[in-house]
Formats: sequence, C-alpha cells, structure tokens
Amino acid sequence: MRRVPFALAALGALAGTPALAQDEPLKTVDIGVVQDSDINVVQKLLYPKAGRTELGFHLGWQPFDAFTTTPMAAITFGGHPSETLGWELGVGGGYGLKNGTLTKIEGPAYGVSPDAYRYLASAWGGVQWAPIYAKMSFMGRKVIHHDVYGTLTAGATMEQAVLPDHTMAVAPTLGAGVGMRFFLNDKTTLRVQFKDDVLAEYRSKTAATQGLFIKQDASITAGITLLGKRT
Amino acid sequence: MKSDALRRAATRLLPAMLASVALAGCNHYELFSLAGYEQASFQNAADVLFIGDNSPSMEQEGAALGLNFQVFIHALANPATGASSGTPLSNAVGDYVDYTSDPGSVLDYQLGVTTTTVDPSRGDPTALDPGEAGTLIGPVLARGEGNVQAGFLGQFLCQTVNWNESDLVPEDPAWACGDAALPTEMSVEYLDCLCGEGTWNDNQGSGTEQPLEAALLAMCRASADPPEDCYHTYHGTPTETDTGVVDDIDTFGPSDVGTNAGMFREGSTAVVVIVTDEGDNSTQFLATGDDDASYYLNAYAQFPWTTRFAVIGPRYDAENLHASACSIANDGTRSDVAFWSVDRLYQAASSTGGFYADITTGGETDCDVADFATYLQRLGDLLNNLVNAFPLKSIPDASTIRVFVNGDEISESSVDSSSGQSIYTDGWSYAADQNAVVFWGGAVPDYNANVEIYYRPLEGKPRDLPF
Repeated sequence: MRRVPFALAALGALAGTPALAQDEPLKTVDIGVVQDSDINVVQKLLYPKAGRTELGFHLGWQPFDAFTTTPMAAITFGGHPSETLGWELGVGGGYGLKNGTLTKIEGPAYGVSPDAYRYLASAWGGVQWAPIYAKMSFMGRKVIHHDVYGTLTAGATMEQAVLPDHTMAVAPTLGAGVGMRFFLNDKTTLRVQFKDDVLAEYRSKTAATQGLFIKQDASITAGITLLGKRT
Repeated sequence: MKSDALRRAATRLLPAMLASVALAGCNHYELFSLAGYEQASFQNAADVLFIGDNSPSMEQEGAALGLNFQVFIHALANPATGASSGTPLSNAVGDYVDYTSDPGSVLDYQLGVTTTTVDPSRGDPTALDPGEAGTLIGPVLARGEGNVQAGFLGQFLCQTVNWNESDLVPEDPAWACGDAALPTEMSVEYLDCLCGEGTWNDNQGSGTEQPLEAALLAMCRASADPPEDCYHTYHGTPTETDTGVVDDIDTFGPSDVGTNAGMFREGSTAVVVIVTDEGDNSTQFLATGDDDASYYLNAYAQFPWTTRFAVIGPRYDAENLHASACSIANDGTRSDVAFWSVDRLYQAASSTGGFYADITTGGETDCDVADFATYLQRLGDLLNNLVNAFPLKSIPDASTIRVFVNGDEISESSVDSSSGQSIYTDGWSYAADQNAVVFWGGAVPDYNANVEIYYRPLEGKPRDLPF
C-alpha cells in the first residue's frame, strides 16, 4: 500500500488564483489511498490472437528413442477464442529410422534386435493455454513479440514394427507440451514446440507374455503458422 | 497473486517435462535374438560316427541297435543309390528340386564306428586295437559304395558289441543264413553267418566309458591339421594287476594324424551317435564329478565341420538330478548312474542341436531296452533335417518366432497327423528337440537366400549389449 499526498497537486491547482491564495492559507486535502489492485499493467498487444484462426506447417524430429530417430512433419489448424485459450487439430507423419545403436546390435557381434516400433503418422486434437505474452529485444535492434503456451492433446498414433514383419499398431495417445510463438508480423508466426506423446501400444509378437507397452514419442518441432482475420 | 500461481505451476511443470524426456529414452522393447544364415552354407554332407559302448552291460542294447538299423538306413532313402551330387548342394541347383520333395535323396552321408574305450591297455596293451582311442573299427562306409547296412552291421555287431554267447539263442527258426532280411532275434547262428564262426565274441572293452574323449580323438585322427587340444596323454588307471607307477599312455601324437582320414569332411555336419548305458567318464580334461562338458564342446568347435550329438543313454531326470539304466543283471531292475556323467552327454546333445534319448523303458522293476526303431528313425530325421534345419543359439519363446527369407515372412507350418505320419504344410516349424527352425516343402530357402530368424530368448540376452 502506498500513501500519495496530494498537497503539491493541490498547490499547483491553486497557483492560477493568486488572489485566493492570498486570502486563504494552503491546506492538505486527503483524497484516499491507491491500492495495488488499483494498478494494472496496460500494454497494447501488438499481435493479438483472440478471434483468429491459425494454420501451421511444421517440421520436427523425435530424437530421444533408444533405437530409432524420426524426422517428421505436421499440419495444424486451430482457433483462439481468447488471447490465452485456444484449440487445435493436427495430423503428422514421419518415418522412424534405425539409429546407430540398433544397427550395431543387429550385427553378427550381438545378433540381437529389439521389437522397436517406428513412428509413421498421428492425429490429435487439443487445447492450448497461453498465459504469457511478452516482447524481447534482439541485440538491441529488433523487438520480438512472442507468447509462451502449454498444450494438452489426445489422439492416436500409427506405428510399425522395425523387425521385418512390419506389424502395424495404432495406439491411443495422450500428449503434453510447451511452445512459443514468435510473431514475425501480424499474420505470421514462427512456432517452436516440445511435445511428449504417451502411447498405449499393443505389440502382437509378444502378446503371449506382454502385449501392451507404454511408449513415449517426444518431439521437437518448428513451423510457420498463419493467423487468420479476426472474427 | 496470479504471477505467484504461474510461477508455482511452472516450477512444478518443468521437472515433469524434463523427466518425461528422460523416460522417452527408456522406452521398453523386448529384445529378440537374430539368427541369420546364408543358404550358401547349405550343404548335404553328413558324416555319422557311431560310438558304441563295448562294456559287458551293453549286449541287449547292441542287439537292438543292430536289428533295427535298417530303419535308419531306410529313413535316408535308398542306401544303394549315391547322393544325387557328390558336390556340395549349393553347386547343384538341379538337386534342389529333388531335395524339396525328398531331402534324404540328396543326403551325402557316410558312416564310421568306434567305441567308448579310450584305454589302449585292453586286448593288445602295446598297441591300439581297432575302436580304441577314437580309431575306427573298420573303413568308412559311404553311401553308394557297397552295401552300407551290411558293412555297418559287420563292424558294429562283429567287432563292437561285447557279446556273451550264453545269453544268445542258438538260432532263430524264422531266419537262415543267406536271408536278405535281418532276423527278429539276435542269435549265435546269425552272428556266425555275419561275422564268421567264433570271430565275434571277443570284443570286451573298457568299463570306463569315455565317449566325449573318444569323439575328440576320432576327430583329431581325421583332421589334417589337428588343434592343439588333440595332443594329450591318457593317464592310465591302476588296476590290481599293475605294479608300481602306471605310465601315461599316448592316445594321440603326430604319428596319428590322418589315421581316420576321410571320416569327417571339411564343411560337413559331423553327427556323433553315442549309444551307452553309462555316462561320460573322460578324465583327460575333466575331473571325476565334473558335470561341465564345455571343454570338449569348445574342442569340437575347432574343427572345420559342424558337430552335433545324438545320444541314446541312461534315463536323465533333470528335475531330481538322477540318472539310471537297467541293471547289468538284466533282471528288470534299475541301477543308478552318476548324474554328473550323464549330464555331460545331455549337454553335448542339447547344446549342439542333436537329441538325447532314454536307452531304457519301463519303471523301477520292469526296466527294459527302449525301442531303437523309434530312435533310429529320429536319427534319420535329424540327418534329413540337416539341410533344412537352422539351429538357434538360445531356447526361444516359440510363440515369438518370426522367420524371413529374403525379407519375406514365411508362415508357420501346420502338421497333419491324421494318417499316422506327421505331414507338414509348406512353412516352418520349431523342433524343440533340435532347438532349430525346420523348413518344409516349398518354404525351404533357395540357394544363397538370406534367412533371418527372430525370436525372444527365454534365457534373456545372449550377451551383454553395448548400452
């Protein structure tokens, strides 16, 4: 809490009437106390999202699996009912490649091959919460406006066994992620995101002993999104 | 207030996100073993060495083997006909069609006979008698070269089995010398006819059966460049008649190289058939009581052929760590056999993709000789499968086996036993007794095909992985 004396202000106001000043002595007028809650940061959003749609094209990578490494791409479309809340639908595709570890252990020295599954495609829907809008100075030359958001998604992921049987699996998927939009202009953003999808995957080859496995497909994506007109 | 809540949420969310990333690197995958083959190694040469126990207790078993030997020969198709090609099958594309319809027809097999006796002091103590210390009883019997069955019976029944004439019937009324068929019962008349009168009843061998050592010595004698493990001596066992120090006995030296030449061919599959009612008592490298046969198994692996063991031996009860055979008195009772000695033979059979069979049948009071016809048929099947069976290194979870030839998955074969015989459809089957994947019919891989067999091993990882 802060007390603000208004004596000087009153003095200034009375300065325009010298005669009156001579007639009546100056006195302090207490007009109240300004609370913290009365103070608001007022900043105009240069790039508002509320009421706009967003169409995105993304490229990404799933680098964290022990035996595969997966380049991927995705298309997203969503809307922003408000500046902080949004929804989004997406489809993605990619192809999990054997990494060096897998190639090594499949060789004659080890003669082992894990029943790994490679990412092929996925589809999801989810919500976004973007509580942060900020701007930062880039080398003192350019001010970049950006937001930070979190997202929760649900959908399905299609994967394929890396072993030559190439058995397919479609796994229900829940995902959580964080990301940032860097506003390039009023219509375009550069969006980077980290999302971890958790799959409940059924693997038929080992069904006799264990069929259901929990798998994570963690991805890092970057893409360009196009914001629509305000409605 | 809002910023505080946001900060708290962020501080909780961040570790969770980092943890999830870490977990992503720990996705759980079942590890499958990969057995990979090239059909370039596909070959049809099988060299079969019979190691007969010539101790006094093996009379009935020897008769059973001899009288049923035709089953084995017939399982390998017409013995008088040579294999379709004397060259490795990989060079004989024309034989491939024959093989897929009748695998035995292209099997290029040969037989040899030795005994479980390694101690050369029996018979002439100054020299090795035939069948001692891995020497062959007689010449190698090759398919297409004379009557293989008659040759084998001559070596096995006349010079290997330790007969006691008083245990044999004088004659079999249903059989006469000159008959082409074998008698139904072993008789003095038959042995006199086969071997020559009075020539077959002096075959007593050592009561210390050493089939693993005999197999090693037989291979050493057949190799042009024997490995270092071949050159060792046998420490003689003192007997009541020995006086003073018993000298070590040379069982293999430089002068013995090549004495079994031609018995085992480079690149072939050597099938060692052990027929005994005792375990292995080899003492050259293993101490008495030692049940680990790995020394011998490693020694066999040094030769330029693949070795597999088929053992017809004492009853092996792994659950109770007990082994037994019919008593020497042949009174229907059982007698114990040292489990560790039988365990050696069981290891040899199970670890080389062969089979182990009980030489006895019946229980504790009605012990009798097993049905050798069944075992010899099984031995024939083993040889026939040499060219279409792919041994696995580990015991698989059979439900996880997946087989691919040139990248195409091969379906599992189904078996039809309605006719009394097992008839397999095209595909593959898992043979637990051989721990091998066996191909059938049109699914037998073509020459130079890449065969990949994936399976989840029951015993876990075959070796430590680099992570």
